[in-house]
Formats: sequence, structure tokens, C-alpha cells
Amino acid sequence: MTVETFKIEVLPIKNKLYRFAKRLLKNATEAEDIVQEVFIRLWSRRERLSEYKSIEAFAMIITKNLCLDNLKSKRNKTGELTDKYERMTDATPYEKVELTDTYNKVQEIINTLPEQQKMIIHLRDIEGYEFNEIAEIVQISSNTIRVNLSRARKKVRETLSNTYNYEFAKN
Amino acid sequence: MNLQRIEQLIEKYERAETSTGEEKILKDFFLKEEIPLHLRSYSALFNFINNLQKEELEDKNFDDSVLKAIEEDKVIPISSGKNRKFYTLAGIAASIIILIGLYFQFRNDNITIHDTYDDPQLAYAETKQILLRVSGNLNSGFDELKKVSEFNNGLEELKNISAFETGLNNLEKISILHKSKK
Repeated sequence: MTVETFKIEVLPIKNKLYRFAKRLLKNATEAEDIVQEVFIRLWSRRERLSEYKSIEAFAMIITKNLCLDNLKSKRNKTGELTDKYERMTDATPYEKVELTDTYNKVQEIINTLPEQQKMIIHLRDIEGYEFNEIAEIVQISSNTIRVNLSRARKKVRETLSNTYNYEFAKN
Repeated sequence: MNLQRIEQLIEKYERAETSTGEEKILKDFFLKEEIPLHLRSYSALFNFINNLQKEELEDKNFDDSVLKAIEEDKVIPISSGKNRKFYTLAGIAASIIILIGLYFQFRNDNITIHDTYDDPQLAYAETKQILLRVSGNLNSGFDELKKVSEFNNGLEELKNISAFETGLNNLEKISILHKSKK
């Protein structure tokens, strides 16, 4: 694979990789670093890339693995402390009341989902992948994906409904 | 799109049974139409999805820096690379230790024996002491051998057999008698 074909065929998936990484890491700079690392790894395997059914799925798998490693090492370093700290800085109690922006609200709810559900709802609802593609990336069965996707969607909707009811009651 | 159809699709959506096409219909509906109150939480969700789908890398020079990196074919360290730095240092340290180990390994092969004592007198005394200890142990072995002298006592008893011999000698005289007879 030449640099030119790499640029035309592989590099355009950068935004998909970036969104996926950012969903998991909740941090734009770190997500960018991860995506860059993914491309470098892809390039280092350029001779074997044609063996993969889908370079995009393969790139998503690398992204997922690097992100989960990153999260794990962060958790190992500081334990539960960072998680609590992150949640606090994500939205202070004052901000939580003031959040009228639905975008932030949905983001906040998705951030509280377990990692697997977070990945699945992202890959399906934002990137529009089919179940078999998600199964390849997340490495679980289509059935498990269906169950988890259903759970994640219900959780998001229920939390949103509760917030809305709360606001309507307030007004 | 009629509301009943949308509500059916939503139920299907929450069971994760909608196709990507049906999900597209839902999204278009919630982005474009006037949404009844009881479905407002869905419009929040689909607006979020719509926003996120448009999200792109912030770094405008991203392509260039990746292409530059792969053209040079060298790895750009990711910024959260403290671990990586540690592994590199650990690797270097390990190689140094291995090299030192190898050096001593091969040096020992053609080593010449050096005196371990500075004072020959002291070395002599020390050697003597060790030899004495060894001979002491040997002597205790000899004690066990004393039992072998019992065997000698047995041999003593056997000397009586020589008396038998003198008897035989006397009988020889008889053979002289026999000769004279001839």
C-alpha cells in the first residue's frame, strides 16, 4: 500500500474513529492521540491490510482496544478517585440544575452507561453499523448486542423522560 | 408520517429490533416535525445523535501530521506515554544488566587462580588445620576397622592345626619302616 492509497482509502475514516474514541475517553485531545496511533499501527501493517474483510472494522477494533487500555491504565493509576472526580467536573450540582441543553443531558446519561452499552449504542445510533459489524468490533454475539442496545436505549429514554417530567413539574 | 406508526417504530426501537432504515425514518421525524409532549425525550435523543454524527476531528493538520509520520515511518509517541517511557528505560536497564552478566560469564571461563591469602604463614596454618580435620575423620574410620583384628584371633585358633602337622610328621617315620621292609 502506498502513502497515496492510504490517504485515499484509510485516512477518511478518521472522524468515525475519533467519535468512537471520544465517546469512550470523554476527552478530545486524548481521542485525537489515539486515532493518530491507530493510523500508525494500520500503516505498519500495510502489507497485510488487504487480508482483512474490512479495514474500517479493523481500525475500529484497534481504536476500541487502545481506548480500553487507556481507561484501564488510568483506573489503575488513581483508582476510583478519578472516576468520582471526573463525574464532579463533568457537571457540578449547580450546572446539573441549569442544564437545559438537551445535548449535554443525553451525553451525561450515555457517559454513565457501562462501557459495553456505551460502545454499542454509539456504533449503532451514531455510526449506523449493522449488528454483525458491531459484533465484529465489540467481539460479542449479535444477541448480546441486541439485549444491551435495548437496555441502553431504554435507560437513556427513561432518564430523559424523568428529567423532562421534572422540568414540566417545575414550570 | 402518522403518529401511530412512529409510536410503533419507537417500541420496536427500544427492543432493538428496528433496521437502520427504520431508525433513519425515526431520526428524520424527530428532527423535522413538531413533536408532541410525550415524545419530547426522543427528540432530545435524536438531536443528540444528529449532532454527534457531524462531530469531526478538531485538529485541521491531523492528516498532514499522520502522513508525515508514516512517510518517515516512525512512531509518534502518544501524549499519555509515561508508561511507554518507563518501559523504554526498563528495557535499557535490563539490557545493561544482561551485558554485565554476560561479561562476567565469559570472563570467568579463562580466569587464573589467585591467592586468596595475603599472608603465606596464615594460609599454611589454615591448610594444616583443614588437613588435620580430614585425618581426624579418617582415624574415626580406622576405629571401625579394629573389629577386623577379631579375625586374627580366629587365625590364632587355627594354629592348633599345625599340631596335626607334627602328628603327620611322626607318621612319616612309618613310611621309613615301609621302605626298610622292601
